[in-house]
Amino acid sequence: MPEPPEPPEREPLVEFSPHTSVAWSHEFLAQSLEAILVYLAADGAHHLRPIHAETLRLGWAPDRQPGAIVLEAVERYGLDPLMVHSTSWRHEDGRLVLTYLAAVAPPSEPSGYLVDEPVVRAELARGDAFGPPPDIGVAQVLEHAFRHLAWLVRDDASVGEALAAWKAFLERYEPEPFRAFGAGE
Amino acid sequence: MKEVTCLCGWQTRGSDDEIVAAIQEHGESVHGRRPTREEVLAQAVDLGGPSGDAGAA
Repeated sequence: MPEPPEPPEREPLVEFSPHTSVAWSHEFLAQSLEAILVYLAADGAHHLRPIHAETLRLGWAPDRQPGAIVLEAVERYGLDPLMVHSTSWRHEDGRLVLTYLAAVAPPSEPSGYLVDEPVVRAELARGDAFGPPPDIGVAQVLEHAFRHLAWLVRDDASVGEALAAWKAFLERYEPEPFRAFGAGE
Repeated sequence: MKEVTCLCGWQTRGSDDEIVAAIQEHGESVHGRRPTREEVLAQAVDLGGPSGDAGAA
């Protein structure tokens, strides 16, 4: 009986190669939590930043909810929280930084550890279709956060209730084509 | 690996011994108060990973 012919060599239909070959490690990705404390005054939003840093950076244990950590920090400064919400993330100095905006009631007696700075408008930091912006400043993080809140205050009932007094202020952060939507509510 | 953030925003990471030494120096030089080891460690957040202290598992 003749030998069966050798099957032709074919390219595999699916390549089972790994996307990465780096073993998991708790040191591989160091996360960092950034809390930006803001309150609304008659002249607009104010940023309460720590006296020795641009923003408040908090240790984030792997088993903790980040929002709870931010709330605890707000209370350490004797501030009255209205809402905490994550508004952006970025990769910075080898860490993943998750930013939370914490809206607080206007402080009756500001902490000596905080500097009160008015929030100014900024051009958003833009990347390209496949990558982040090369540099992101605090003003741009705040601009992005308020644009996010401008949408959320209308879309999310709990945020809308917590920030009812902020709605008029946040309207200026809505993109112009959408400002008519919801007018007269 | 642990991390401590001072109310002023200053931050340090490291082993227990490293963060205690760093924040005691910071507290004394910047705020005029040297916190105890227990006070520092009570505020420290364990980020996971090796502690770096001698004898640590």
